[in-house]
Amino acid sequence: MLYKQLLENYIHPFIIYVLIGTLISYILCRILVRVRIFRSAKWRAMVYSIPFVVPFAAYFLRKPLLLNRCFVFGDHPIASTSWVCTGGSVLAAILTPLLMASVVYAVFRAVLSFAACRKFIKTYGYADRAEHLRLFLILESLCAKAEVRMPRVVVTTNRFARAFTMGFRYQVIVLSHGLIKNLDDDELETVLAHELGHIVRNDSLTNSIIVFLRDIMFFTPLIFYVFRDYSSEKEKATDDYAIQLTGKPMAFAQALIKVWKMSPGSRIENAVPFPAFVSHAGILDQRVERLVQGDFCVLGNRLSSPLAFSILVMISMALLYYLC
Amino acid sequence: MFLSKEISDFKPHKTGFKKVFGDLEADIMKIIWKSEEVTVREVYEELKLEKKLAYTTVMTIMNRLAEKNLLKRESRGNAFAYTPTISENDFATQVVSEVLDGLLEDFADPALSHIVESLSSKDSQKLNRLEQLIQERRAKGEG
Repeated sequence: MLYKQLLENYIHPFIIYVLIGTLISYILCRILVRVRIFRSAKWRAMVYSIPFVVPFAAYFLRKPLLLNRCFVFGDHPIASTSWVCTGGSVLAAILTPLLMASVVYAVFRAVLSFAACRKFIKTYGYADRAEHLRLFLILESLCAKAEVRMPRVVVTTNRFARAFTMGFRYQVIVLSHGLIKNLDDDELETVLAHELGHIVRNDSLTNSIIVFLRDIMFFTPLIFYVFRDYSSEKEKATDDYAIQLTGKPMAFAQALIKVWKMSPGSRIENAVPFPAFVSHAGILDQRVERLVQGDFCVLGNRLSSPLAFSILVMISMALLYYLC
Repeated sequence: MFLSKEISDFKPHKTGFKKVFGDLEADIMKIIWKSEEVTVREVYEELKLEKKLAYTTVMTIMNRLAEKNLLKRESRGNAFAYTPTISENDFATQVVSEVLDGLLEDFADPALSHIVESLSSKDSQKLNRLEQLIQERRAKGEG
């Protein structure tokens, strides 16, 4: 009985909100990005986070807004959309056990990544300034230029090239020995500026939240396309930050290719929620191409981008409430 | 063939000729291939612009490369002039054939399927083209 109530009152609307909410908001996002309303990568990354947030916002606000009007076994206020409710109840019956398992999996993964972060630091320790003087001199000069606090650095003994930022409150830049050794000073400077960009934007935290939401919304395949677009724009926004800080787009493009060529090509990277310097080649060639073509650091309109963003959220929510 | 001695230590995680040479050896060979005939002093002066190292270190490495038959040493007055015994392109071709032959000898199936996969990858072809463009623009002094 309790299970049936949970299914009808909570999981059924959640599944419908996720399925329809991501679809509506993703279509709207794609249209507005295509017509170049959001010109900067920073705003495009924010826009692609809407399909993750809208279903949850609509779900949790439906009671305070007195919009809980979807009755599977009663009269639906909008007769033409009753098929949505019926479909939702069928899906809820099938997906509920899987949804519960996915919530447990998402929590487990979040805890595991937190533990992995601690173990990483315990294994390698923080890098010593005297031992990695070249690295620290470049990072210190970048931090002074960006007016940010010097982050701590971990250097792994890995001979392949890896770079990422981890941690939430006190963020740490992780670099491999192979990367430091094989990049020249300009290239290393741009990689560090990129990682500094992730710290300034607090990407470790937002990425972990987005990965958590993605894992819970596993039953809509669309969410993986949204995640791909979000990750791509987030990396481009951080690339823009690195170029603004260093003024070296060609060195950065070369560093991206070098790191990609020297990456072990492991799928483990995808399991870690922290943003890695180079993910897969599909996104990488877009990133390199825009650097070569000078299509970076485009500033978004200060008024139209936030306005369009707010309208997009409101329209997505309104359409969702209209349907269910 | 003499190359098999050089390729006894193949380092896949390194870039360019550093995969088969030591780091300094690769830098020196790059300079020699660019200049055709050089003295130790000339190589030392060029390397000194980028890194701190001793003249004798450069001389030792160039002698070692000559002993490996990669360089020919001839007397020019008080100094020795070094010339490459093999062109950069021929050396690259030979490295590729020896490494691939070595892999195909023991791991024919996975090696071949990986080559086919790589050749059909549009991503790597595109990135290689972009890399060439980037290197040309960096050589012209773009950041």
